Amino acid sequence: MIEYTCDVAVIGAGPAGLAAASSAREAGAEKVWLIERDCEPGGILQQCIHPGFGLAYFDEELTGPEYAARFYDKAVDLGVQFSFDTTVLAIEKGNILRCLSPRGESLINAKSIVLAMGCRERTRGNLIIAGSRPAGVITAGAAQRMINIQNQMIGNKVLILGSGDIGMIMARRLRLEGVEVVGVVEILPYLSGLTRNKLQCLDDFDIPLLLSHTVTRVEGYPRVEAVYVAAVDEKNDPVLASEERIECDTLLLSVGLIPENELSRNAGIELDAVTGGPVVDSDLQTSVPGIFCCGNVLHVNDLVDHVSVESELAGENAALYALGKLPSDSKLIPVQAGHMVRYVCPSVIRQRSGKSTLYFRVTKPAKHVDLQISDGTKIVWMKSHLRVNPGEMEAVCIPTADLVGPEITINVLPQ
Amino acid sequence: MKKRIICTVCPQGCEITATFEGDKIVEFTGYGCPRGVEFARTEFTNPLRILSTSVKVEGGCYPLVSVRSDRGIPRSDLMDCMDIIRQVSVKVGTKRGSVVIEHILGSEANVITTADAK
Repeated sequence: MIEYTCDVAVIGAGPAGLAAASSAREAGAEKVWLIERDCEPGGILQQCIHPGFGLAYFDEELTGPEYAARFYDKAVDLGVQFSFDTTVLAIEKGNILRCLSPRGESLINAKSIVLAMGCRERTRGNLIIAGSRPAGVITAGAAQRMINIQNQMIGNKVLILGSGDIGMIMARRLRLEGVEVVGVVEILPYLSGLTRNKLQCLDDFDIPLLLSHTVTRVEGYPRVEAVYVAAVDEKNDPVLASEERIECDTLLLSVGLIPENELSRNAGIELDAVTGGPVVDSDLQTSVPGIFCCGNVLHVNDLVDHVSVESELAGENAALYALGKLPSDSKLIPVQAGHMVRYVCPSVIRQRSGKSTLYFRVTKPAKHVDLQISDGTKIVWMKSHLRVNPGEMEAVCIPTADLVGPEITINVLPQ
Repeated sequence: MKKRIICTVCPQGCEITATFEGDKIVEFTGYGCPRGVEFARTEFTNPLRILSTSVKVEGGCYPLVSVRSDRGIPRSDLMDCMDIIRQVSVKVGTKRGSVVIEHILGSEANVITTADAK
């Protein structure tokens, strides 16, 4: 078996991995190796041909392939080494990647590692939908790949379950391609995805959005013939008296994303029960020293711009670790999710001069709130928001040098 | 009269209120930046959308390459533009940013590739 060495190994050449690898090179790591199982860079951005990327990072509106190309070109210019068609099978002894490619098996001994494997979609198996198992039940991302890359149409009359961003984007895409979209069904009383996607993807094309409803069963074999939809009560249980049969030949699922952490789990990395991603400190280092993490494998993001910024930090710190320059003696301050906050990432701040960015999501939509960070003794940061939404991640950047409390808490409070 | 417009320039999604008399705008409130005012003005008079889709590739490994309009197209013209875009194809080797259709439907907008045709 061939054995290689490198300073920083990055797993996954999507937006997170591309940004982390470039940043690691810029921070002084000599040999940065990016390993990707697909034959092309860009990850999910390859199939996200719609615009809306880069508004925060580049201050211009790009499509997914254009956004990815900028980061790929930069990584190539900086001398990042790429291995495509290569799957990481395991992380052994905390720093060795066991890889498989058409050229055979190999080991990469890395001084530090960045996990950037992204996430995957929840499928029908993750939900409980009664009925037969016909063709025509497909996740929104799979449909996006078939339509945008493989030139294959998925059906003629589509119902979408879940108001996540990919589902809404696909509603518009299907309509543009002449497919009938009968509606989007959302179990929650509010939208899961971004407001701008509801406007540009649903409202522009008169596609109805049915909140507080869900799919109760699927009918038809070997192909979907109809889907039953019912209103839900306060406990999100379907009210069967309201059940209605909707004729369609395809059910598209846009019901959430799961960070893809099999590698992390097998490497003994501690995972967070809420995000499904590794527990990290503000250096984005996991519970295994020398392994860093960023992007959707850490926590599912709604904006790639956030992913790029976060991943650059992970890449930089992975480089510093490889060079023996990342301080490890700083004081640790745990971060708690307080009132109306579902989770905060990172969950621990390493106190240094400088700032830390905390990403968090609220538990429910609200208008006119104060975002407040307290360190147990005083409020260290506060900002008013017109509105907050679980579908839209919040990011706050706070100076950490003056924090004194044993822990800090983020609260979202009504004004 | 007032009309509520949710700004989609960036993901902030500011709720902008346009106060108008007849077809004349009196004022905008609730915007977070100057781009929001510009968006609300266009949205009120003639909503524009970037159109993104794909075209066929001749002789490539992949059947399609992604394209978009290089500026906004009137929302009401999107389906007609799709009919035009569906008729064209590009040769393998066409680089990202190449113009596929000039001035689609007589507008200012060109349709450009957003990836290399491979």
